[in-house]
Amino acid sequence: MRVYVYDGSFEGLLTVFHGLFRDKAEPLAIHRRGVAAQGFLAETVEVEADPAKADALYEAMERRMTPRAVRLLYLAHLSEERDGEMRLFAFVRRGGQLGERLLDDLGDPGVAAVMRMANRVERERERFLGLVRFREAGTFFYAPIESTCRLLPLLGDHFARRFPSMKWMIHDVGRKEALVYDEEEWYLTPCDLPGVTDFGPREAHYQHLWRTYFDVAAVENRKSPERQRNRMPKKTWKWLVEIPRGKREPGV
Amino acid sequence: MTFAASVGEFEGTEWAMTVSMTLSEKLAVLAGAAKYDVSCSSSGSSRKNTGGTGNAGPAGICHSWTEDGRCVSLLKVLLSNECVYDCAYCVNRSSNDVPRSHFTPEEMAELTMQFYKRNYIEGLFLSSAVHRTPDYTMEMMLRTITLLRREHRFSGYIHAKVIPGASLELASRLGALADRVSVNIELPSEESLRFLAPQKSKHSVLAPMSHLSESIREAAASGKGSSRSLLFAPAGQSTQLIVGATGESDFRILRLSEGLYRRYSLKRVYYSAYVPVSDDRRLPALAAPPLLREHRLYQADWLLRFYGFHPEELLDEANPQLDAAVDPKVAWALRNLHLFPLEVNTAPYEMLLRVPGIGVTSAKRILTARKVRRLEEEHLRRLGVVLKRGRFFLLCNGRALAQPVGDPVRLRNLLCDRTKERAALRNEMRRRQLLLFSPAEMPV
Repeated sequence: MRVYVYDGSFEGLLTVFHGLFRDKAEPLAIHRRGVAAQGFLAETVEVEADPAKADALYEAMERRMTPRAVRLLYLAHLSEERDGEMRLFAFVRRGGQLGERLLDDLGDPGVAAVMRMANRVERERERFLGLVRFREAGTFFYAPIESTCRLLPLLGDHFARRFPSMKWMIHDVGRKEALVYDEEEWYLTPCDLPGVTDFGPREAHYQHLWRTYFDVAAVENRKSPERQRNRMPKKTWKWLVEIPRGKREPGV
Repeated sequence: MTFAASVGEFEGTEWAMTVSMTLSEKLAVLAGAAKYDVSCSSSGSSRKNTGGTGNAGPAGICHSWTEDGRCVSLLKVLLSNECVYDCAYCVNRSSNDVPRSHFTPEEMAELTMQFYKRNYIEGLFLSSAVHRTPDYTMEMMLRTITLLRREHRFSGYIHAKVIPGASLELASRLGALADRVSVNIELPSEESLRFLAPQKSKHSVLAPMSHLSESIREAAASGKGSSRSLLFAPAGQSTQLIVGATGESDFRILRLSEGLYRRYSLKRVYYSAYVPVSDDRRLPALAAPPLLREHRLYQADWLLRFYGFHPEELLDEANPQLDAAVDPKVAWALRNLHLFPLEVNTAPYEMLLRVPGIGVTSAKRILTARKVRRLEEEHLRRLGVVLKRGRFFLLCNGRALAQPVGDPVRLRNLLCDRTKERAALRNEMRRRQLLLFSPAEMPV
């Protein structure tokens, strides 16, 4: 049994799966390049993403399973959970047996795991639809984020529908990637900036007003920091305009 | 008075009094005065972007959580807190000595847009104290919302409060621009309203509610089958009432809610634990807001809306208060032990919903999963079904998930919501201590 290493993209992962099915091979582990605590003695195979193979498997899965099952597989992949790839593989294999009924088998460990991972991604995405904070930086609006799952591919449509006539950019600081919208369409691009920090007085004015609102809106008799942290964990505070700087790590 | 004249007057006389406040000070006053309104939902609409800014989807989005743990979805402010009414329970009553201010419609619209573009909020929740007259107040609110929709081309969510006593025509104009409208019932009975809010009446609340529910129904019906539907408060109508300021029982409150859901198709009834904001002698002296009671009412409200329960199944004249120690579904199950245990693999959906600890999501998952295989306990766990309480009421393939407990008293003890009860008690103790030491309470 071998360890398979790929580039982290969904395309790359499907290429790995494609090879495994073709060779009827059983993997010891599958992981992204760079993440790995690799098997000490195991043989390692580096797999380059191959669009043709990935597409072929993608279409086959849509036919054999359902488009929704493939969508869940994609979402689960974005969770970037450690050792998640093996569960995704188990899911696709079970799909080969069950076909269209795959998603009904919630009692199966592979199906349950993928549903759970996809759920985590969906939940974090929903949270970030609210927690993205744009800062007005000259001609465009800039929002830095840091998230557990890779969310940028899932945010483009939402914000493009909402702010079609603004130029904006969401920067995944941890993954060094940016989602850019140019008033026509959105696209993803690598982004190694340390984070924009130069904002005008107008931006400072509205940040101040927002902080004022945020502080006043809490009812004193009902204060409950536990509930607040439950809904909005501290790890999400770093780029939030409304949280006082002392309470978050240094940000913008 | 014409509309233009009323705007002129708005900017004339009283304007001078508050003009010295900065925008930030105004915001502090007018958001502080609005925060006791609990509704914050931004869900249920379908307003699409038409080239301007914003849209509103069916799901609603929370944008932050304040220190009291409540979600911030909408910018919730009063246009004015300069009130001619003197409702005993309200922080803005005319006899209360608090700073007063108002936004101009232009300021309000601009602030909303700037917050929205930064993704701080999902939209605006606009309410107001009764500034001069109900109609005058509504004109100002309409002017603000018209600015947003027409000048700023804003398609985000707007929740607008209807001022009791305002003309129905103004209420209709508000509904044509807003996503959600609401009229606050405020208190659970006519007597209480007369007692604590003598300038409001049952009629001034129910007339606009009934009028709006007609318009909402018509607009929704007109939309069926055509792509160009008429938008009239597409996210429907809600209301709010204060719990614990007057003596109505939970049974009476839940029956009122059920009636409102049935007659006016309200989307939500919000319950707000009375926060002591006044030392008016007509009000009870509470050390802390009755938060646990509010929580149980919400649980019961959910049972009415999503679980097929009727108030009469939960409470009756002999037992008119919800049990503080267990949630209302557990209380119901304990009185109906003869219906349990249920076989997970065959029980109908409606009965699964009645099992303590099983919600709509879990019940639906069970239905799906049992099509493929017979479910055992391990499968239930994998589905994410929480069995902490459910295990006493379920069978998997004929096997009980927990040692059967025949005695309802012992079972009740096992199902007690001890942490909640204890937390509520602790909270109350802490408040009492605070009160003891607060300067207001010290003898002079």
